Amino acid sequence: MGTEAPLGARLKAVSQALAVLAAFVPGAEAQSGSEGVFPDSIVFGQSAALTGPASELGINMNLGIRAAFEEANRAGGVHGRFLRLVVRDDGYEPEAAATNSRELVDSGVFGLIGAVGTPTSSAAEPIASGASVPYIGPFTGAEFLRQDREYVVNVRASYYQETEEMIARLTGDLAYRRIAVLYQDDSYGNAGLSGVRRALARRDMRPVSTGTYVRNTVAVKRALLDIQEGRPQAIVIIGAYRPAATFIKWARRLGLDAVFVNISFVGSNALLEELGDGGNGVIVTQVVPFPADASVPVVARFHSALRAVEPDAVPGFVSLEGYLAGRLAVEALQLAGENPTRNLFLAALKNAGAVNLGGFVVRYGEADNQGSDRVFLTVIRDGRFWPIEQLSR
Amino acid sequence: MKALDHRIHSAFMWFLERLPAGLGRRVRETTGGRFGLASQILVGLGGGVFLTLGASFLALGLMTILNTRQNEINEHYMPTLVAAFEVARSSSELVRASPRLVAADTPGDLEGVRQDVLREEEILNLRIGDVTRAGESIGLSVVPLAQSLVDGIDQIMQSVARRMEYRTRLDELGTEIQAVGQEIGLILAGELDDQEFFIDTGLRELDDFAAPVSQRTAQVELDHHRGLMGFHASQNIAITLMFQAMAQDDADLLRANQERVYTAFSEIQRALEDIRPAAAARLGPGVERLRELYDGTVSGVFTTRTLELEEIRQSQELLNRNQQTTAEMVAVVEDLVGHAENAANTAASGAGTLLRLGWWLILGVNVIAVGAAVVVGWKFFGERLLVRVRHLSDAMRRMSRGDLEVQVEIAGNDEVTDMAGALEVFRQHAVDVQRLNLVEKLANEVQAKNIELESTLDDLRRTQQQVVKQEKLASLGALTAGIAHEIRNPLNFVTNFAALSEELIEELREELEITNGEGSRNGSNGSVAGGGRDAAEAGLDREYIDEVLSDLCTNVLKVREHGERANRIVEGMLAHSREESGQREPVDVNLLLDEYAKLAYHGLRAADPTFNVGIERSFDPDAGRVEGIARDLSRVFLNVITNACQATDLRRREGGGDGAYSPRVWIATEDRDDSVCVTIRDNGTGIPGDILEKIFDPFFTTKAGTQGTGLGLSISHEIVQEHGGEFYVDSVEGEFTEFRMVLPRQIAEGATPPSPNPTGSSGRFGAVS
Repeated sequence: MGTEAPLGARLKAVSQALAVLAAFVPGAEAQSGSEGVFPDSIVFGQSAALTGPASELGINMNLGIRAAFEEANRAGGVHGRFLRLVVRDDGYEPEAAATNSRELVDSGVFGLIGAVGTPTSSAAEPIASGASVPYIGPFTGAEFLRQDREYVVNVRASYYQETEEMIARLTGDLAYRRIAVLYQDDSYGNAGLSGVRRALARRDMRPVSTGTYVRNTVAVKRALLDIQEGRPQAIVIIGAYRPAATFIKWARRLGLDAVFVNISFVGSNALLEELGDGGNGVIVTQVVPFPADASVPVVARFHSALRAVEPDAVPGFVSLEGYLAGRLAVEALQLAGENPTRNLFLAALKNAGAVNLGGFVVRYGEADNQGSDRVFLTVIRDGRFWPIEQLSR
Repeated sequence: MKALDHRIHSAFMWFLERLPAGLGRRVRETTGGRFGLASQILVGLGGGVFLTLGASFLALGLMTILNTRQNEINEHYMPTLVAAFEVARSSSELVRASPRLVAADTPGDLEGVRQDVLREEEILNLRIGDVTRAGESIGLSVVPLAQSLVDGIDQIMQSVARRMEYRTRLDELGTEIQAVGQEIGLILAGELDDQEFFIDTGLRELDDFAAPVSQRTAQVELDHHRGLMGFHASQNIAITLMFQAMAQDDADLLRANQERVYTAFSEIQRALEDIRPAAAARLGPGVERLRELYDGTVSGVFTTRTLELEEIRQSQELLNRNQQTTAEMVAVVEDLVGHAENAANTAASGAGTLLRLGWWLILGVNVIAVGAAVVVGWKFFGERLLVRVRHLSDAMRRMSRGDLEVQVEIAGNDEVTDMAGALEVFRQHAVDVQRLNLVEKLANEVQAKNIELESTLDDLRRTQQQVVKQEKLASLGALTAGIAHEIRNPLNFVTNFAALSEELIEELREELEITNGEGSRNGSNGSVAGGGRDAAEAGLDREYIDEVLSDLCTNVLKVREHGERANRIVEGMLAHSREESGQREPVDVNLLLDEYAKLAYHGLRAADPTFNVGIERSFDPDAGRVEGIARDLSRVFLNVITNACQATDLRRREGGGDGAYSPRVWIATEDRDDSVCVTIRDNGTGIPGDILEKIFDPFFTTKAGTQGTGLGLSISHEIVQEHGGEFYVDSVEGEFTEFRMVLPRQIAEGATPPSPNPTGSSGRFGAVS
């Protein structure tokens, strides 16, 4: 008969044991695909502005990523798995970006890729990092994404690097002393402003004047008045293409003779379009190679990949950046092996050393989540962009 | 064994008689009408099987009882207990449901809880049914409580659902307010940007020419700018207050908020009047929408929030009410579970006791069954069959070795018995055959052996004679001293009478010479006594001479008598030592005993002057004579009496100076009509029991060195047997020894011849106690 525990006590013990057991039975959802990796595919998510004043950015980032993914899929996928991209529109609004990212992360994507903007990333990145989801190739050079963010994989150079380059050229090539800043009244604009201030401070200077405008408006005229007061030789614009173009047009209308230097985020091709004929001499710093320069292998490859996705698309800076982000994801997945996990993916990049995407080399390390430090200069002349080595009047 | 066999067989037959006729006949045919080996094995095995079956049935019975109890537990107590637990669980689920409902954030959560509640309610009702069926009336008391709880939950659920609707509405309102605010903000930012730029630069469009200052600072432009600024501020206040209201917990403060928003909208309205119609038209829809969101309809921010607050209050109230019900329910359910648990525990412990009992019973039954099997195996196969078969096999093996004298035990009535019978028959045949063979073989051997034996017999006879002669000489030696003493008496008489006669003759001669002197002078010289006297003194002398002569005559007679006696003694001695057998003659037993008692006594005295013994005779005067050889019988008497005397002497010596001991020998005769019984008893050392049977063996002696030949009693025994008599001995060591001879008056013809081997069997001595 063994020991004589009361029947009730035994029943309780059994039911407790069952409850504990039940807790360990894996849920049905967990079975279907771990970390967005399915037997035949790997799913990435993208939240970007597909509508609104910054929609050109989101659309082209998406296009570039798709070009890269489709290119890989045409080659049989990565280790036999096809890459899929789920895209959501956030209209360049942080709330929507947060909501989208939350939903994408909850739906179990492998990583978030190609986010557009600093305020949006500022809202979305903590969601991704909090769920240990890689945050790959955001279209922003904000500094906070480059500091102790182990789940963030930046491709491009930072805004600080861009603004440093701008100030270096303006004060070096042109020997200008009077530099003003137009910045969008949000974290993006402030990031750029602070980059400019730092670069100037390094040279014992400060902006002669600053002006700001509300995001998603073209209400830049009061800012123009503010800036004009400083009689600047050059105006660094940390903004979106439409207000930037509006600002440049009105500045020229008011006869302000200054060099307009835009940061890469402005959306170069859109800016070109907005400016129309009035774009001559407008400088834009870039973080990717010149998209029309097919002599760079990765650019040539980008051209064919882009054509395969959208035959009519014109290769642009943003779509090239998207393509580079997509290519980086593909390379990292290749390195992560047959059974990739998010951690393997990130570790593969950290340990890979230099990854040559074809004339564009990225390199990651233990405390370095930014692949490229390169800043390229372009100028608008005759209705198109030209790569330049230095500034000149 | 035989009795048991018999009983078993009888029982079997009894059993056969009671079988139905047909079956009985068949069994009788099969078994041959007896309790054969097959039947025995069947019965033995059957016994084992019966016991095993019995044990099995007992176990089966117990199992059935146990099963019944277990079923009772399984079908009654366990379900009751499980149901009680389920009731408890469902109750606690229901109890937990209310706070969960109130805490639910989304309609999804709410629906989840609602589903849980419905499921638990169903389970609860089901289980209450179970418990009630199981006789737990407590289960019934749960029903109204549960119903009340469920009702409460329903109400809370509805309330929470409404609250959620309001919250959803508020969220939508918030989103919309924000969107409208943003929309208005963007328009406003553009308008303000344009207006300030215009006031500053006089430019509205890129292509315009700059307006003059008067136009830039006209009242209408300034009003427009002020309106935009006022609109901007009031709109911000209104939106902020509306958001505040959404989170306002206090209904009174909510109304105050509403007042302020109303004021803000008034200011917006006033500001709109300052704004240029085109811009006002662009801003107008946003303002109208915002107003609607504020309170334009029943689903505005304030109405909705007020309703939500009311629902929150109501939910809280319901929750409180439900908590009360919950407490009651928890108590009742605990009671129920306690009851069920007690019942189940009692039943389980009952079953446990039963199980233990069953366990012991089965153990006991097993022990009994095994024991019975062992007993059956040992008693039946071991003792009844195997032992008998082993006996048979032993007998066979011995027979095979040629020992055909084996006794084959034929017992029982079965195959073994048959085998035993057959073996016995076989043995008889074998014996016959062996005999036939032997006879032939022996005939030849006997021939040779006979010759050998004859010479051996001759040797033996010679040796025997030698030995007997030696014994005779030895007894003669023993007699010699006695005889010498016996002879000395007559010889003394003879000598004394002869000396007396000599004196008498001398006297006579003197008398005669005197007479002759008187008379010689007469010439007669003595030869004729008394002549002179006669002559001279005739009267006196004659008388004297006669007297002397008479004395002489008496003396001579005495001398002759004693001489004859000595002669007789010597003759007896000679006869004693003579080798040839004596003649049968009537022998006076008393006389012979007396004589040899004396001889023995004196013989021993002569050898050892310190020897003494009191011999008491108790002769039956009617003993008379028996037919026998006096010489032989005398040897017997002498031998036995001498032994008796020596035994007393030995005891005397062993006793040391113990004066209490008085050595005695009793000699008695008794007339028994056709026989005479002679008893010789002494109070000597006695004969130890272990050698009592050996004393008649030839050459057996307890006497050291040359004191005895060891043949005395052997020969005595032989002699008594030759006389057709019986010889008994009885002795207690340290107390007495008694020999008794019964001698028939007439020796029957064919009396026991002397046995060549007197050691044959002690049984011949008859009673030896």
